[in-house]
Amino acid sequence: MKALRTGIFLCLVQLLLGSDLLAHGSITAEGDLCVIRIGFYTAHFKVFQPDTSQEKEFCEDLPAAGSSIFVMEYLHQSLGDVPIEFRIIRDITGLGRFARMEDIAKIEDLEAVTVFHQPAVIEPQVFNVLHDFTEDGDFVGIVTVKHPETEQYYSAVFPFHVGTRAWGYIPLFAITAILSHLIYLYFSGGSYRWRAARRASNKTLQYKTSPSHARILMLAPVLLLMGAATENTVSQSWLSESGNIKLSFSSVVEPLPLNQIHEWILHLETPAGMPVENVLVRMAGGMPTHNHGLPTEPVVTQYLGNGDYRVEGVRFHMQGDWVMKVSITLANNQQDTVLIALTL
Amino acid sequence: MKLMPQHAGSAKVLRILSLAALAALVYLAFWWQQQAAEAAPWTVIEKALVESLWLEELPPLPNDAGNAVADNLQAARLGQRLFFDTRLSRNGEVSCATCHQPERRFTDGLPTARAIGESKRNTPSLVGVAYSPWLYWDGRKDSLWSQALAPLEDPAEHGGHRMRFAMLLQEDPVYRTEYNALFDQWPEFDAEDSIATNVTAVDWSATWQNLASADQQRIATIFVNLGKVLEAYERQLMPSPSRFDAYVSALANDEPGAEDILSKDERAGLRLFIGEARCVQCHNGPLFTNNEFHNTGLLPPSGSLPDEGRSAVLEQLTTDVFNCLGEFSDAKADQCSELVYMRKGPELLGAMRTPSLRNLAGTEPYMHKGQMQTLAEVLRHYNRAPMALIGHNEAQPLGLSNRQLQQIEAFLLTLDAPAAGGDNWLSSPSGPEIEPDSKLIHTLSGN
Repeated sequence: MKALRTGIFLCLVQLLLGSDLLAHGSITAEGDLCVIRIGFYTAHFKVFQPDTSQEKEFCEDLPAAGSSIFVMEYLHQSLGDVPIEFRIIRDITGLGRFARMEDIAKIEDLEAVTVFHQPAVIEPQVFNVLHDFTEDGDFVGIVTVKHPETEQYYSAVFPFHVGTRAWGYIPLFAITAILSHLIYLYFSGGSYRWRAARRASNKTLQYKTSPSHARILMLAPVLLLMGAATENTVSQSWLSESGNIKLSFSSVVEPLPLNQIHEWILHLETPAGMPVENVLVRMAGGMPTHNHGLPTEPVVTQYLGNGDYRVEGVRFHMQGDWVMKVSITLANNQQDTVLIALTL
Repeated sequence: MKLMPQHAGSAKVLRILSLAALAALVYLAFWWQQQAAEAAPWTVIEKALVESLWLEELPPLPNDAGNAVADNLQAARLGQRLFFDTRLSRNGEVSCATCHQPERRFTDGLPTARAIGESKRNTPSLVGVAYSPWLYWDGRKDSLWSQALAPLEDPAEHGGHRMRFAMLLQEDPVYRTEYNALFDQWPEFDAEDSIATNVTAVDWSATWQNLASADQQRIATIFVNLGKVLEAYERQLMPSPSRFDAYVSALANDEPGAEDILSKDERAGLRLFIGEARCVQCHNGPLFTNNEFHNTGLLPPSGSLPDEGRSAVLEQLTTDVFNCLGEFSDAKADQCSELVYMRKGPELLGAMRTPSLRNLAGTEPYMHKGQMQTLAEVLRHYNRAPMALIGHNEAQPLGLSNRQLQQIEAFLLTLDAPAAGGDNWLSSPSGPEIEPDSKLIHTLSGN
């Protein structure tokens, strides 16, 4: 345990020492993602060089000159509503990765050092630009966003390098790291324990809880629900979460068709058999195991009387297990939900 | 003592031999297991899935309420004539069949279409296209008639304009007669119209804007009707039964000799297609497509940005004057369910329409930009399921072996069959000859 703690500490020390190697300027590594901060706006920042590295994602430093695609996927949705300007300049500040906005502001003729410029443009879904770097070197990227109401400008600046770089301090860090680990190992009798652990490892198998296991566990109730209902028959009914509403449905097209838009009639009644009238009903659906929704957005368009509600715009585009979620808002504003498990 | 080394040597040989034997045995066991798995009879679920792909199961063609002449045979014949007519272009050299070549299953063999200029995406086949609620790779049109209008006015494709097309329909005697038989009344052109129809500029919008709105209305109506007869023709382009369908037919009717129709590898490929390889999730039904939109993590061609696909056209679909709800559509509002209940959302970023897998042979290159030249490349891509540059790849890595990928490819090639209808629909129609009118060609070619 102590060895583990010390090991983590040593790794942390290295990370701190080497942190400016990983990310710099307005781009920071957060978990698996590189995140760019433009004032209060944030986006997932990634660079690709599909011609040479296919789908490999770079945070900012690029291995070689050539065609490069810069992508910002908005984490802050309102970025899709504001004009975004993107500029890449040759780094003449001489500050390398320590260049900041103040240093850029001092450059007199920005246009003269600009290698790429995308004038402000609104991109509702995702922002991406392509630049073909003709030579290696140090560059600075500048992203500017204008707030639509306050008219204030927000900027992000990220220095980056294109092409193979001089090794710099990296070998020094690496040697220090290896040495410190070795010294630690020697003084803590680690090599003995390592050998002992290796002998023991043949006897025990450890169970690890990975995120995918966690996801499967979370899905368990849904899967159980699916197991309970695999036949789609008209006579079947489903009870709401509160237990106060019993729902059954019929489709205008039976059996449920694939790739064909059609209507459903939902029937809502109390467990005693009284129709549930004039409530607000919405229906959505999806395939929990595929993590996607319906290919349409169905709408409850009409109350037909006797607890019957017409739903238009239902379409299924895959065979397999579907879950429809019917949300009911009662007159007293209380919410209730019915989940319908279907197999197509 | 003298024997020792010799003894040790033979023991070593024995050990190696026994190891080799063991390896051979393991390999044999795997081979046997694989053979047994491939030869196993279809389970009930598998058989149902296989039959769901059978052409016999194809439902009747859905109505297009937006087009009153969609199923009119006379309209289809006129549409066929127009489909092959190169006068429907700015330079007199481009017809619909320039890119949708019947002998190539209505594709063109190019990565991206080339007509007057180069267009953005790969030419899709038209066989069975009338089943799709959405047209184009990104589904930016909601009917075939509305789709047919777009390339006619695209400067990179036919490069013409509605005023000129209206003029052609009026001046060609065959077109004029056939049009008159289909649509209520032929609007007479006045002097102003004929000036407009003679505009040869690539940018014709200024002339169009200057027309009185009643004139615009008349010309737009003729233009829309041109799209509607083209749709009537395209609705005739149906797939015919392939070797795969013959196999399912034998299987479904318990006929003997089903096993002779598809080879062992082709059957193994089919089993993977509906099972482990999960192809059938999107390539489902008798046309092997759900006509829906999916991001499958394709790389853009060299030097181009990733294609935003479906998510970029949602706005355009709802404001298109030629959509199902627009004034030129024959549909009532409640007949436009697909448009009204259209889905939005981030999962459509980078998503493209699933293409049919019938007729893959000879229709390469594949994918929306024609990025891939062979089916093997396509299958390797889906086996790997890489990260998407924008949005998220819906597919997951499959971990199939090369042999399994080859089997799937072998199966896919059993889906090939010529389009139904024979020469009747697959070439320029016979009947009254279209007599080239030199004056007209001069007017229409604009040079």
